[in-house]
Amino acid sequence: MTTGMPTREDRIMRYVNAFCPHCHDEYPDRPLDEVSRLSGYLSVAEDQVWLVRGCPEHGKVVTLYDEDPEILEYLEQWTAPTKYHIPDTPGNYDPVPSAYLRGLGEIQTQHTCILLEDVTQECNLRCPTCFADSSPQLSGVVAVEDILANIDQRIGREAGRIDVLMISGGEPTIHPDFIALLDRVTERNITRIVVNTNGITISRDDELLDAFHRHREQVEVYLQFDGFRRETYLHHRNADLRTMKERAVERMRDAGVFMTLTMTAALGVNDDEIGDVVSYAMETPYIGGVSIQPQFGSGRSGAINPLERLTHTGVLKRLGPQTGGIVKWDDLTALPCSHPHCCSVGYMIQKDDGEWQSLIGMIGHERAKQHLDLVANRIADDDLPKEVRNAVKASLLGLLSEQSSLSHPTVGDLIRTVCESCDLGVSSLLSIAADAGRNGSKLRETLATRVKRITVKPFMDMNTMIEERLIQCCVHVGTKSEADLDQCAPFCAVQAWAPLGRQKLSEVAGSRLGSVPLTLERATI
Amino acid sequence: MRQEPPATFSHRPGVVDIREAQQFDPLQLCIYTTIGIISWLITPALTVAIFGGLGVVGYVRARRRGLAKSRCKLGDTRLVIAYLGVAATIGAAITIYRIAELIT
Repeated sequence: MTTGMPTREDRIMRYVNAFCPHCHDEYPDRPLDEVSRLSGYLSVAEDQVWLVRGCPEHGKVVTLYDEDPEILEYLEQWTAPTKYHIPDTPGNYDPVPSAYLRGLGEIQTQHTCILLEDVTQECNLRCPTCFADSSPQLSGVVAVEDILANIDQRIGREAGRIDVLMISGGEPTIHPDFIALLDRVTERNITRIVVNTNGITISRDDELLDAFHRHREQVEVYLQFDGFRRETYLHHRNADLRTMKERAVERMRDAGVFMTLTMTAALGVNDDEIGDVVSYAMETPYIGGVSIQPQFGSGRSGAINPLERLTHTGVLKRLGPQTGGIVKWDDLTALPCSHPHCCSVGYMIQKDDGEWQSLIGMIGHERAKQHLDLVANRIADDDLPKEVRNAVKASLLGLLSEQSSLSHPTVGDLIRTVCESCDLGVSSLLSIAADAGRNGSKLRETLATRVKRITVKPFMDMNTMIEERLIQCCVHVGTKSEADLDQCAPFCAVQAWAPLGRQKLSEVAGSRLGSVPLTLERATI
Repeated sequence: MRQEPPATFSHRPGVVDIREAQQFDPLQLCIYTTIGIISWLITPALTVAIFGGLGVVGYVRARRRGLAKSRCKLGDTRLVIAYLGVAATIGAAITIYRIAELIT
């Protein structure tokens, strides 16, 4: 008699549909209806999370999914209900990823939190790790009217308002009509407008800086900022950009323009600089926070070891040791509206005694979950009237969403509601916030120095791509269908699959040569 | 840099010969007999050690609560504690000795 089959040594976290990175590498331009969705699972082994899928051609394919199962399970506790969406093509029940050739399908389960518009392929850098594969040689510049048509169509499908518009590229600030574009988009019902930039133009163009200053209540700059070492910039950007970055930060700080540092972090390159970048943001007024993005392998960025790489939870785990314990991984929560593996967010608030503490630490994790209705069997907080509880919930959901920005006046109200109702002991911040109606600029100054937003945003490449994250994705890129209709598709899918990438507005413009002549005046470094 | 995923993902249990697996093997009878032999050799002394130890603890507590005279033939609780202590020590020593004998 035998004792039967032995118990598995790995622990299965969840069953998923995934894709084969080997098949993808062999034929990146494969028609999407020929891309196989593979059965698979996320599994914990050697205290890391692995994505395992079975490919009929390549057998069992195992890649690293996340570095810390404990933190990943913590993030999974923070999921709020998603919102309805309107499909771009009614009746589109095609499977992922081919469904996205006709925009958002019927089976998508989240609306557009962020609409990303690639306004040009052109860039004034040629970064070795660019996911968009942009460079000075490419020329796809999208006409302002075409960008606005795509945005307006999305506003129509989002019940009259977009939460976040992200203007990207290429380098969007070298678009010949960039300032006109900024003027036009700020006229629309968009809560928050973000411009992704490498900062080169900002560091020397006063007209551009004036435009950002003029729209500072609604527009925020996402400045690429990878660290402080020369080698870091040579690896990610192929040039030592440190002096230029410093100048761009100083100019925006002096102009009162809120910026977020977007750090591309890679294992063995600058993963040890995460704490330094966070500390720099905390010290510098008008740096509203940091968005840390582990390098992912779409576009030109192909040299990532799929078995040993920096991941979402890896970034979170490094925060505590690298900031001297000021920012710890449990100071952040998953962004409740997105898939919990896709984004984490946390606010650091400087108290009156100068010490930094996280908003979630001040409220307490369990209490925050109760406020967010995340605890099924929650105990009613009798001390708080129902109206106040609802106000705190709405404020917390507002803060823990993509649409919140320190540059936006309503954020002061959101923080005030949470702080007052939870009695968090940040009295001077509160008194200034309470005064916001009469003295908005003082509130901006206070938020600029005493509140910082830290996010970790891990995008997926074919080694980490799972279907459920695409279906719940809320970061959508504006695209055009074969029939020339405006639509959008999940960011990671557009970056990973070439047939979707060709539907980006800038690619469509690039394929129609000469659609807009590019003025090279702004493009030169 | 890591070149291979964890070994657990390439682990595959060996296929068992079904005839061999189905052949009757009264293994558990062998296991029970072995446990019996081990118990027989060391149990008496182990019992003395365990109950002697429990007795010492119990009588010490009882004396602290005021029990000066026990219904035990020895009478004085100090004598009872001394008797149980000696018994427990001898039991423990013999148990250790037996185990050492079995091992070596």
